[in-house]
Amino acid sequence: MATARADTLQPVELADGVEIQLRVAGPAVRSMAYTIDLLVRLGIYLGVWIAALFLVLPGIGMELTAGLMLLFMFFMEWFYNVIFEAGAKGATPGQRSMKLRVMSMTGGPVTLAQAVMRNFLRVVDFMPGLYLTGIVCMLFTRRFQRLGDLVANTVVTYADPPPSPTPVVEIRAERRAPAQVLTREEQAALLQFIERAPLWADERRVELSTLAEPLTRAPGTEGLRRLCGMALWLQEPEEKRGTPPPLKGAPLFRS
Amino acid sequence: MTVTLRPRQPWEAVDLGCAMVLRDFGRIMALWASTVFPLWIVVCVLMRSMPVWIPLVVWWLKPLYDRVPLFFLSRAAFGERPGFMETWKEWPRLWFANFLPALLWRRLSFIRSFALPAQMLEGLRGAAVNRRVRTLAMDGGGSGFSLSYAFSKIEFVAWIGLMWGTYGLLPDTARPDWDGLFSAFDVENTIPDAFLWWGAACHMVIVTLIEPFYVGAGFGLYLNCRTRIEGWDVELAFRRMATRLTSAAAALAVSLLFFAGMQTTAHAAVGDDPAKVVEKVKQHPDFEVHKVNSKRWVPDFEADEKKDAPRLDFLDAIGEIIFWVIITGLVVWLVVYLVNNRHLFISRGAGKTPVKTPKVIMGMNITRESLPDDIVAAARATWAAGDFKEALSLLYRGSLSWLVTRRQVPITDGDTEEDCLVQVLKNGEKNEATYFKQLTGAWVQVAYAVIPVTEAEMDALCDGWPFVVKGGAA
Repeated sequence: MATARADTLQPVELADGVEIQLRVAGPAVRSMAYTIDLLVRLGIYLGVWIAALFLVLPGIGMELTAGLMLLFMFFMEWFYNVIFEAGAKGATPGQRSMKLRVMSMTGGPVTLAQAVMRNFLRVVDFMPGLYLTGIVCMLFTRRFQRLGDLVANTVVTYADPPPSPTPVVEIRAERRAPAQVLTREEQAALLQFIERAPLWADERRVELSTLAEPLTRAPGTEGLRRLCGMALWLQEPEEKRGTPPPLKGAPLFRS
Repeated sequence: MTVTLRPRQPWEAVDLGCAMVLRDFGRIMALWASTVFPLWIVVCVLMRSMPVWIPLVVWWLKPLYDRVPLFFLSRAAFGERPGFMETWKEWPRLWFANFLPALLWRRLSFIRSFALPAQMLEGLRGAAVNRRVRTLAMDGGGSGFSLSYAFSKIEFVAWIGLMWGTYGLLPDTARPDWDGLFSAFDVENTIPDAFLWWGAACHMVIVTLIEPFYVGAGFGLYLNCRTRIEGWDVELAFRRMATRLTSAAAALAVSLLFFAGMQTTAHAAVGDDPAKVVEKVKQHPDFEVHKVNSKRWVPDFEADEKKDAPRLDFLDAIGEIIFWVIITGLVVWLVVYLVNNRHLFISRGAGKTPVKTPKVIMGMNITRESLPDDIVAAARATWAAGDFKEALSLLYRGSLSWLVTRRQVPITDGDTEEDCLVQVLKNGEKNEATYFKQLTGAWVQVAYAVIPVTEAEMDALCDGWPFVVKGGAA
């Protein structure tokens, strides 16, 4: 049975036929961001309340101070997220600390209208209590959207670029064409191997290259050398003219 | 492999696990119901006298529930989804393997769901398991901790939320006496059993809902950990490649002799003749070439000068002739029109041609030739003869003749006596105008009213005759 591959990248086809992939963020990390925002708001309330007790209370009395404080809390609860999400970063402090941001489904920044809609609908997501609707809705939609997101057509995505740990190393291997015709997946695996091999121990590299022995037809280090050569050939079939620039990092082979 | 593996950030790996669970949530729920619900029934029956502890027991037994979903997910990741029979056959082994440490000293481990795949799936035993978990935790331990924190928070919040939301549906007898609870802290008597049972049920619902995602998230983190520190995705790809190449080795041994020289360049396609594959791909509707033909007029002056169409030159000549004929016709018509209607364009006063003096006014001939040379003498003679009307007529005609010819007063042949007087008063000299007014009065009196003027008046008119050339006789 053919099933869709589970992936965290969610494709979205735009109106002009272009497909983009969104790195949507799930309920776990979003709950962390929400907790941080909640703490930030509580901290602000505490600070403002203490300041009001010392500065405003002697002048206008207790009832008026409490009223102003409630008014301030009302605006914070309704507009804290709106202001930050419609802003330049598209993220509240909590979301920014978790390296998240709110996006329109088209991959662009959210408009003010979208920010207002998705945050005013928190009331619905909160029902019947403590965001139960929002949590369930996030768990059971492919793009991890709560109701407010679905209505405003927004998603929460990771803001930082995907990790690409590629330390530059010198690879002493002779460029050579693969002895067999390789599929796309196999070519991709070879390229992944040469890119990430510097992160692994020598033994692991040899272990992996031994798995590819039907391709390299050589065991041990010689197989690794040949595999690296084929990967280099895949990266760049033609020999570059001139000497390559000096490379930094540990050598791939112990000499 | 039905999961896309690539090095991810930890939270993204958690999301991958959630996506895996979401994809097969129905099947996981079915397996969950068939394995966990019986256990819960047993727990409820055993603890029917103290329902307040049921949520704690249900929570404590969680490591057992995790194993069936994990078993399913680990198989589903490789594309085979175990059914009921297969799962039930594995069930005892899954639950009894390592269940004591899981329920006792490992129960409070914060990396429970992250470590579970290493403990359950890798087939290690004893100290090797701990070493393995410690190795993996060096990379993903912190993330496993955050994951457990996030999901226990979500679970707790959802539990309270569900109880809060459904509290209104409870009958009064099932609601706790909050005042009594907070004033006396008498839990036994203020909280009815029904409330406790209801709370336990809500907890079970939420655990059922959330726990599979927690297991999946831990599995996703584990997969990511192995991908990052061991290149597990590369390993799997290499294994698949080795399988493909060795199974094809027999066929290859024959064909290698022929293809040895050609394979150095071909590395993209596999199997069929590339040309045929390309043709097949190009058959797809996506590759259909659509053309839109549109025409746009561009003035091409060079082409006009080209002489590759000399036969059409006579058209030029004909066109030119027609053009000049039309122009000439227009000019002629314009000239004729202007001439015929020149009075519209040439004003009467400004013209150099002299005003055409009328010869007859009111039926009276006023030309100088028709009048006697000495008008006053002739008038006196006629007066003396008794023809008063003729005498005054002579005077009036004579004055009009003078005014029209000499003074150029604009009088036309259609004007009445009134018109003539107005024109003379407007254009004539003052003494002449005064005289003409007097004369006109007498003439009108005689000619129309037939009242004869007196002799004194006639004498005055004759004596006051102003229309003579100064310095000489008329």
